[in-house]
Amino acid sequence: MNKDERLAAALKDPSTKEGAFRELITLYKERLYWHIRKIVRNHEDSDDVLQNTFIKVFKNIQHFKETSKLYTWMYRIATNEAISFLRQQAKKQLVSVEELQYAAVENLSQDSLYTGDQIQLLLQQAIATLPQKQQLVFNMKYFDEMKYREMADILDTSVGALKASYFHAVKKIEKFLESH
Amino acid sequence: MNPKELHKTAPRLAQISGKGNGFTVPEGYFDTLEDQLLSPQSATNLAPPSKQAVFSVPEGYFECLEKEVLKKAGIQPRPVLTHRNPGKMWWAMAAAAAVLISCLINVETLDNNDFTALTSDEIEAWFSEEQTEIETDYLASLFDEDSLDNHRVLSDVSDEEVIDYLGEQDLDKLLLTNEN
Repeated sequence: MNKDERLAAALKDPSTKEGAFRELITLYKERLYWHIRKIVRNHEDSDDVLQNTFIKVFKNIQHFKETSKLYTWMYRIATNEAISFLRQQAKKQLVSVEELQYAAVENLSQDSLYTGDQIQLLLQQAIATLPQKQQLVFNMKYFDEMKYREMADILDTSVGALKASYFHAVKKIEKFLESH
Repeated sequence: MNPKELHKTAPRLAQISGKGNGFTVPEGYFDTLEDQLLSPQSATNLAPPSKQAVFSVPEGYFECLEKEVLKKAGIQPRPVLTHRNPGKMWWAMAAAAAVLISCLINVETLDNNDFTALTSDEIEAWFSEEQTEIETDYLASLFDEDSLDNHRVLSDVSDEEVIDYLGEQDLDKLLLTNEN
């Protein structure tokens, strides 16, 4: 039994679930945080989404089927939570998700928790121009150097489609960097 | 795409590949996350929803409901039969048979309706008011495979536009559509 399987079993057992939950947070908090942060960009929002993700994991652990890895299942929840968050925010502010993301990138230069230089900011602007799924694929591959197989499990997409998506994203970002 | 390929495909992007994304977190953020999530405040979020019924109805509500609705609809309550009368049973059966026959006639008439008399606006209004959802697979099955050949849809589209379009689509979905 590997670590994930042991944790999943402990989370399903009422007598061990709290300890297992603490262990789960310790194990995955940073990876999930950075995944979410790259989607929503702002720390406070990322913190909210991360906490909601863990709460959802805790509440829905009984529905977790051992056919996938606990880690991939959590990544999927985090991704859905982050994207739902963006949609809700866009709806509240009566703007499109794209407009919301452009504004979030614009605000980065004033953000005390963003230390990127001019070229890194330009890269964030370029990423914001991509369709949502390409943004995810680009971030997971370029920054996290995740394997296509893992990405395929998380995003429920084929490896071939992911490779094509990453290639298109890279081409578009390069074009953006060239013209700015 | 390995670093060599990235350098070839997107030299500008390759130049900044080691720089990270520029995002940071407040000091000690990750050290306190477990405690935050397991604090008494958060514990209320983690508790399973109460299964106790939170709504109630006034006493005798369901007993009087039928009478109230019938009264509002202007229908007199049926007298309660105190004993079985064989003569009335035959009348009831005859009435039921009459209703059944009239339904069958109506269904027949409906089949013979001429839908071509409906305007596009009427059909559109029906779809939007009924909020009818039609599966893509079903729509696709209504068209012949070669029906696209009759339209010059692709003649005005440049290769670049086709590549951009494909880049923005979920390739898996396109592949599934083609398989159908």
